[in-house]
Amino acid sequence: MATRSLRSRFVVVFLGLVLIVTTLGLSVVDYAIRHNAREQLAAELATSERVFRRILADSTARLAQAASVLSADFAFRTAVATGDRDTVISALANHGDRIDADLMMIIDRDGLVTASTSSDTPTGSPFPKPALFERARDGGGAAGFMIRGDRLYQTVLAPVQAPTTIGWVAMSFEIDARMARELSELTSTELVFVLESAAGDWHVVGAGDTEGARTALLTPLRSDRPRDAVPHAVGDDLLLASMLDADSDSAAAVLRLPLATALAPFAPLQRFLFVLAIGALTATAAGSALLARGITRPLSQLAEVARVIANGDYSRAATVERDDEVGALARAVNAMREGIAMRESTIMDLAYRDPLTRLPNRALFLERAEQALTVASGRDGRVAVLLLGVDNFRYVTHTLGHQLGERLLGALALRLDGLVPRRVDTLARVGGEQFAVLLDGADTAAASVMATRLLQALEEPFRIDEQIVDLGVSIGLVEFPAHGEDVATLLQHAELALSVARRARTDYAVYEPGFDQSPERLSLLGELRRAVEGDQLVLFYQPKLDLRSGEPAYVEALVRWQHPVRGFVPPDKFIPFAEQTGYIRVLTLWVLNAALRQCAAWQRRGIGLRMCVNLSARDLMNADLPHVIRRLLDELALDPGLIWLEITESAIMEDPVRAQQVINALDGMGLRLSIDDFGTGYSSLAYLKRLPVDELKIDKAFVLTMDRDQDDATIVRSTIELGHNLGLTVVAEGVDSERALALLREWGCDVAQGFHICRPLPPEQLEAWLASPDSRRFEQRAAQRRLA
Amino acid sequence: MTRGWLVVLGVALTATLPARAGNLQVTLRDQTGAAVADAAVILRADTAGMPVAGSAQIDQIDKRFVPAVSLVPTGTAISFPNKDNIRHHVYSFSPARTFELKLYSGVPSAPVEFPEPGLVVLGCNIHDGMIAYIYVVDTPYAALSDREGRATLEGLAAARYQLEVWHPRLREPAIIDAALDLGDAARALEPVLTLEPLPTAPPPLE
Repeated sequence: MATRSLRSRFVVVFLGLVLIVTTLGLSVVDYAIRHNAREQLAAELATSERVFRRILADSTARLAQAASVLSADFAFRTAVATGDRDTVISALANHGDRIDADLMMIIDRDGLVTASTSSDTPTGSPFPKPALFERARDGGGAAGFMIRGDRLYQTVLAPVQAPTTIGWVAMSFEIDARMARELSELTSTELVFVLESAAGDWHVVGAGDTEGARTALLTPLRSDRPRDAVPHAVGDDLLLASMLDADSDSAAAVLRLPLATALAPFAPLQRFLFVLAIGALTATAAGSALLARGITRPLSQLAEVARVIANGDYSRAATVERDDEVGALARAVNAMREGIAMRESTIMDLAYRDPLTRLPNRALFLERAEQALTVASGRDGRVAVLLLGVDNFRYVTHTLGHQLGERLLGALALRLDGLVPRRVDTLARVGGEQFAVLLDGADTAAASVMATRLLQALEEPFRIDEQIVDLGVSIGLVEFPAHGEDVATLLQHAELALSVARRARTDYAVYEPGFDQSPERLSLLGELRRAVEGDQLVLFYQPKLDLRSGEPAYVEALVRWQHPVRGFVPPDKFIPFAEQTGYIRVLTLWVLNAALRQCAAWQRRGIGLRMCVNLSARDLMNADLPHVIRRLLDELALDPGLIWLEITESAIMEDPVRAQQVINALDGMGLRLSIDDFGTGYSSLAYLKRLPVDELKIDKAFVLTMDRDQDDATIVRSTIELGHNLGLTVVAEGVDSERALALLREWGCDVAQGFHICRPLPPEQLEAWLASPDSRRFEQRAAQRRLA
Repeated sequence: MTRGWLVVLGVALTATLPARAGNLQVTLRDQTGAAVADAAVILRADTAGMPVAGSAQIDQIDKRFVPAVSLVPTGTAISFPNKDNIRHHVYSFSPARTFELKLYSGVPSAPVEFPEPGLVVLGCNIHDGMIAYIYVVDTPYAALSDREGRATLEGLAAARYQLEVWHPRLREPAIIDAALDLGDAARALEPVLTLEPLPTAPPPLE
């Protein structure tokens, strides 16, 4: 983890620095102490050597004094001069004892021993150390060292003068281990005497020294300049060789001082320094760890806060109460957190809220639906979607104004929102006048209940600025997974269900697979186009009976599609489709062209039938339509009064303003206008009254059942009366029985159309029918009736 | 003073011999070329005869023997008057004449006779620095070299001599020529002596 590494890096760096400094310091101190100690020891050793030399000199002086005392003794001299050997030896022994001398000799002028206290130097043998003797002879006396076997002697030669030199007294101290010990004490060193044997090996006088010790001892002697009495460090000791003989390098004293003795006084200081260093290191480790923790802990905390923020949770604030940079960082993180939260909420709002109704928008609805579907599919659950559309909302906005329309939608949303209280369910505005409700866990039945509740709630009119508006809504209802595996499919199917509900004028419709035939429709468009271009379409004409005269005075042009493969395609299979796709305009023009030409042809042949042609809602939006018809009329020299244009009530209502413009233009050209399917739409009579309409056409849904259904009969009858009262002729379609025809006659209906009179026929057959007595069978009755 | 005494001695020696015309001058030098003074130049010959004994005197003045070097014939009696106001203890361990004049002042009661030829080294037991040399010779032909190292022997009969030189710095008397023929004519010799180094004072011991 990064924090741990930062902390340990702190500790390592600080500790490392302090460690380096302390180690350096301790090393310097140690070096200084050792250096100092060595210097001090070297000085001490040099002093010891001087002391040693002084002692040796004293010893020499004692020997010399004793020798001179002896040699000056007249009796002794007499004895020597007279060659009285025994007396001489006794005198030697006597004087030697006085100073504890170990070896006494008399040497003649030629360097031969004439008397000796030791049998090692018999009479007549040469003095063992000729160089010393020569020095004595040349200098009138000498002091030095001599080696006899493995013994070392300090020797003084003094002349025996009678009065000229007749011989020499040699007096010697043996230098042995005892003397070495004494000298060690006096010089405060470890002092040994070493001799060089004939073979060139050094060995310590009178001591069974070990090989290692000897090697150490002899180091100074083996150096390049042993005579310089330079201290040599050997191991933990300092050694110094003091050469003993002026005549040869055969003997030496080695003084040794252990370094430890010089270091000993510094040991407490060093211990103290070491403890101090350990203390400093510990304090540094602890201090830097604390310091690092003081930084890394809040950093970790901030990192955790940042992680939480990254996960989208803005509720947790960083709680680092400090005045330093870390505190500033924490405050910055907090400010950032609040800023992000605020901006995200704004963004979320913009992205997911409908600004008008404050409801979730389509995007959010899709997202929630997606989530709900994912969850539901995971546990085999269900999700229902209600799609609620306001009927004829465009009309509402046209009549009431856009602003009011929006307020209406807001009020609607508010009312709906109160009815969808569950948090799991989502109410969203998914389109201009469409709202969707996502019901998580609901099936069709439960959704139906909700749909009913919504519809009931909307039955009460809205009151906006003293205006009372009654909104009609329809609901399409789908259920996951039965009606679709994904949100897009479900919504598409909900739209279908909604449109079905609208068309069927039921309040709501549950989707059924039969609603959807889109693949077929797509190919249908192409085929329809080919049909128009390839003359697969033909017009059939259904006569309309003038109930007053009993003559078939009108025909309604009905398009028929003779598909080369499928055969006859019924109009309800492609007309609604053509309306939806807008292709109806092309189709209408084709029909107008064909029907007007037929009409003109009949006129020329004396068949005076009035021609009725259906216009769709989209045709009414086509401002060109009047010009097209005029050109056609002019070309055919046809009387516009012969042409009746049938317009459905709902077609007008889709965009009443534009529809009225087209209608007015057509009326101005002298064309007759008929309201088709009257009674099924929601047109207000007040509006109808404003239209230049000549005729009302009662929907066949009422006519077909009026002989059995009293309500329908009432509707038909009152519609007839209403039409007449408005000054319009009234047409009833769907007349398929004599009884219906009789009723219509009785109620004063002006025109009747239906299978009972004649089914739609191609032109030739119609002409034949017109020529047949069948077409005349109503005239008589009409006449009878008139008569009656 | 010493020189004067030698002249007297020489006169004394020649007076006892038949007059002859031969003489010998010896100039002594040491190995360094320096003139050797106070050396006894001695001629021996079978025909020489014995010198005439006499008496001599060696004073002790200022803790010194005066003269420091003496040449005397055998049998000479030498008196040692102490002219210092301190006592002296004159002795000799020389084989030619060993004697001892124990602490005394003034003139000792009897002079000391030197009957044997040879070098006698005198010392004082009290004052180590006092040294005197006495050459005791048994030939009439002997002389001490002067400061220039010259010694002249006169009135020598023609004969074959052995020429010896004595000196305190010679371990033994040096025989310069064992068979030196001397006639009437004067001869001059310049032998070179190899002297032992002067005994120096004992070095101060460490």
